Amino acid sequence: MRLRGRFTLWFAAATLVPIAVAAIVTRFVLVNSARETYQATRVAVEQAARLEVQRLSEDVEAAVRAMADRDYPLVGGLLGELVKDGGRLGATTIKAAGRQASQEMNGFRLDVLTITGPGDEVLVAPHDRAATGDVDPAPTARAHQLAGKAFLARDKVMGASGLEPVIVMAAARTAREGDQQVAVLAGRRVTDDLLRRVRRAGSIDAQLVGADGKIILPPAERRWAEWTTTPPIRVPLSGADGTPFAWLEVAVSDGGLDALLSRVTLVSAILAVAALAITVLIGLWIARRMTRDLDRLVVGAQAAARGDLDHRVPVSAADEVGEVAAAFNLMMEDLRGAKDRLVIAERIAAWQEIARRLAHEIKNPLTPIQMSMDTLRKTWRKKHPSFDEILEESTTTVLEEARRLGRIVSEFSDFARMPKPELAPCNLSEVVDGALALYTGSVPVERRLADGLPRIEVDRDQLTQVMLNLVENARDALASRSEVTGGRIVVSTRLGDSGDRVELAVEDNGPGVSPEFKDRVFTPYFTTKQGKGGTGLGLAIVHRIVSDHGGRISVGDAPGGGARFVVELPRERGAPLLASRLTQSDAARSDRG
Amino acid sequence: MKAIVIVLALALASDAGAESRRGYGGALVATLYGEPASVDPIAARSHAEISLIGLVFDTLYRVDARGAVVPHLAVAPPEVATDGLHVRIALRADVLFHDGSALGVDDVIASLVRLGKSDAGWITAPVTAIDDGSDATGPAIAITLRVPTPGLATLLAQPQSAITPRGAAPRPRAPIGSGPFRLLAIDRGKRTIALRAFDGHFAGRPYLDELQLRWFADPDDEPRLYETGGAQLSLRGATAFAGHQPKYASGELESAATVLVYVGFGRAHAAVLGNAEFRTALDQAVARGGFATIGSGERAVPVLDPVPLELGGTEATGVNKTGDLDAARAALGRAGRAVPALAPGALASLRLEILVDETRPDDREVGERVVRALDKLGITATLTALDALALAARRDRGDFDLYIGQLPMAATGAGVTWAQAFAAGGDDWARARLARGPIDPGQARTQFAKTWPVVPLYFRALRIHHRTDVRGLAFDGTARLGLADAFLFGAPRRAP
Repeated sequence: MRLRGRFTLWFAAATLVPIAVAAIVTRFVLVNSARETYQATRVAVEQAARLEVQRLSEDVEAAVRAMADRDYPLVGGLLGELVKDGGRLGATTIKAAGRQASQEMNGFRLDVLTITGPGDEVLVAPHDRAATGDVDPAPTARAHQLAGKAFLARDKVMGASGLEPVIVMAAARTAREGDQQVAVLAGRRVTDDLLRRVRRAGSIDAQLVGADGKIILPPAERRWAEWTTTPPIRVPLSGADGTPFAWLEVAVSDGGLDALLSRVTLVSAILAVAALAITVLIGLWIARRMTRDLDRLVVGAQAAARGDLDHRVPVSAADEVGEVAAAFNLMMEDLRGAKDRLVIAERIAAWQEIARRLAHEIKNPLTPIQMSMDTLRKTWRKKHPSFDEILEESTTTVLEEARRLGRIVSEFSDFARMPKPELAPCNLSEVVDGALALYTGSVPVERRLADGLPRIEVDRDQLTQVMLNLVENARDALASRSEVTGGRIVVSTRLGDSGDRVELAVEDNGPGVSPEFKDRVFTPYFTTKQGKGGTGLGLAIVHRIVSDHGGRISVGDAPGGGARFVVELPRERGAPLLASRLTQSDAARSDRG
Repeated sequence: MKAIVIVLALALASDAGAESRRGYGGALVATLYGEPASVDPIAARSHAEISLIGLVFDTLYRVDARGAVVPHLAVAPPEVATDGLHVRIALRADVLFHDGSALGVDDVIASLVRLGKSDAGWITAPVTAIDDGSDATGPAIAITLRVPTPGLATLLAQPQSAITPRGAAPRPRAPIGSGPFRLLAIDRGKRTIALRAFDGHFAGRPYLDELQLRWFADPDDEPRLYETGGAQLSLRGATAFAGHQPKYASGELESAATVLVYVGFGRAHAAVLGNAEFRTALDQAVARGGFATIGSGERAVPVLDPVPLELGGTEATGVNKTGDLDAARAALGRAGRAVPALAPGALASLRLEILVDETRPDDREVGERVVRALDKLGITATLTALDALALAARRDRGDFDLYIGQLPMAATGAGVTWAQAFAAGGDDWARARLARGPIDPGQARTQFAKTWPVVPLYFRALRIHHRTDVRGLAFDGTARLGLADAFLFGAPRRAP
């Protein structure tokens, strides 16, 4: 994995691990906190429920306390009439009292009001006016039994379509004047209003359950049973006999804890994903920044490997990578200097070699010239009889050698003054095909030219010369090996494997190039054909032309024996290939001179 | 009789009685005690219906304010032959219907024949034939009786025996009668009936030019209209507003307590409702004492049978005022043995529907007391309030259980009231009995207790509050207000 990917992974891990740890710790803390809160809520809800029941009781008790007083207009009026009429009330009085009681009932927000007189006859019952005149001992009995203390009871009120059973929080008291007594029983319906005061939407629900377990007022939530595994809070509502008449059951949902945990998990997951995304982005950015200089170093190293010693790595960071880059640049500077020195030295050495070889080449004709001239002088002094013949023979030799010197000088001059290539788009196969048309040698040439090669910028004439030099070199190699019969030369072209170059290969089935000569065959005046007409400049010229085209040439072994010269020319102008080199397999071959 | 005397005393004491200078003209807005469901005399049951047909139609005889039966379309009391079975009733010759046609013998005969075929046929039960008895002295009808019927004039004074042209059923929106007022329009949406004085009435044109009768959906609307000057007469008057100082000085007039309020039966739960023990249980369970507090202070007399006290009826006292629950439960127990739906285990699932007329201000409270009585027996009952038309329609269909009915009774004789009560419950006993002779109250009471055609609750009076400019008011023997003699005098006196 590349350094940038590793950097990103490290960043992601460095972010996710703390988040995971934080989420777990938060969840743990929240669970404990929520449980404590839940218990506290239950306590508070129970207090609130008891308070609501108590408030309802106190309201009713206060209403009855206020009404069951002989100074209270309604009750006082009834008592006064009873005293005056000896315990009897006229219909008009009862009717008027009924209207007044109806108003009082509304004023005290009561739903049930019964006032009984002598014989427990109902004098007033606005909630069920049809009860007027009935005998009802309950108000007096409850008043004596509970003395105004509230209790829960069943009753009935006359609704729009008939009697409706209700549960009321009631209280009863008596009032007396003289020997007359009335009993007042008043109550307020226990309705869903009481439960609503306790309920909290989505978290707290309440229901009223009778002592027999039957639901009197149902909960608001149908999923009551799913709300909590904890038993509901139960607040008793006592009946007239003091035992629970009904229970106010309140359920506090613990579903909030699950919801909270779900939310925490969800939020943690979202945070983790968001953090991961941000971390990856930041990590990529940082890794890119951190590896950018390293990438530049890599590019620099690759450039150096290609021999591009002018490449420099920009130094932007003031850190270790920056120091490495600076050191790299320094190294490249040193290499550049060393190479320049080496080039100069090589150039000097090359020219020394050339000079040596040129001197050698020049020296070779000078010896016969000198010997011819010495022979002429000796024979002229001795007046050798065959002086004329000797003169003819010596001058002929001198002239031949002088022509030879002239040719050497001319070729050297050509080599030294090789013109700059005039580039034009050409198809390598076409150029090779045209060059081979000029070839008239005895060895057959097999053409394996690729079709559709991309056009490249070359000097057609110089490339023709390269082709002819290589073919002639192959033909000379075949000619030097007398035992070889059926010699053949194969010329092929193709698009390079990387697609950035085209290749020309010339191979023969001759003796091949021995390993010790492979790095010298392109050196001027190096030849293995001494005395056979070779000047040692053919392959040097080929190398020079190929190099001038930004290409490279290499020599190797042909399959089945023989030499194989490969010329690689860049497809794009200005994209020079690496310098000519030997192929790897060349090291194993050695029998060619 | 005592009630009649009281009514007379009140009438004489009122301002209406104090003014002697009567004058024609003016319009009066008065209140009906509920909505009249029908304008057909033979279908008249409620106080509103008999009040309305009393203004539009005439009968051969009528019950005057003193409770006496006096000739009306008839010239004189029935002339009874010595055998007691042939009766000649001489008719007025100058009677016109509202359309200008003369009211003749044929109209009378046809009307009485139609009556005999109706639910109110008990009125003509003693009659076997009605013929034209006209002679040189003038028009008359000749009636042949099955048995001597001394109270024939009383029977023919019943509002249901009113005469219609050719004895045909009146058109619901434009009935033609011969009464003092001509009906112009019935607007049930606005709850009004417009009438105009009939100039050709044989007894003389009414003093008022126009009369508007109204009824109300909300009981408080009626006194409110009176207090705001929209009506000159009111059933409840300013008493409806406790502590309120009335705008106008009012006179009060109260009828005899002759309007029977009762519980009638339907057929929705036929087995239950038809069981006499169940009806007995209901009768015993009802706490009648409380009915005295219903209304606006008018007289209310809880009773055990459908006969006004003045005619020998039995007032509810003692345990009957609070209801005899033990006796009621015992009767229900007996009923439960005969009717599975009334068995103790089945009572909880029994639901009875009680119909009440929402246009009668007190019927709902009466219904509530019946609900409560049934509740004491463990039977759930619901109240359904309907307008008079809807209630009449359902009563005809019978698809209900109980209803609160009222029956204005002429305080002329116990036999007629018993007959009315049997007829109200759809019981033909009285009809059959009248065909054999006058009804004996003792027999009627015994028979009534066997079947309970209706459960009588209480008799009530009607009280009228009137402004001081309305004079000449009086109730007749069937608690109908005699608006034909009412007139306006001066301006209404403002309350001090």
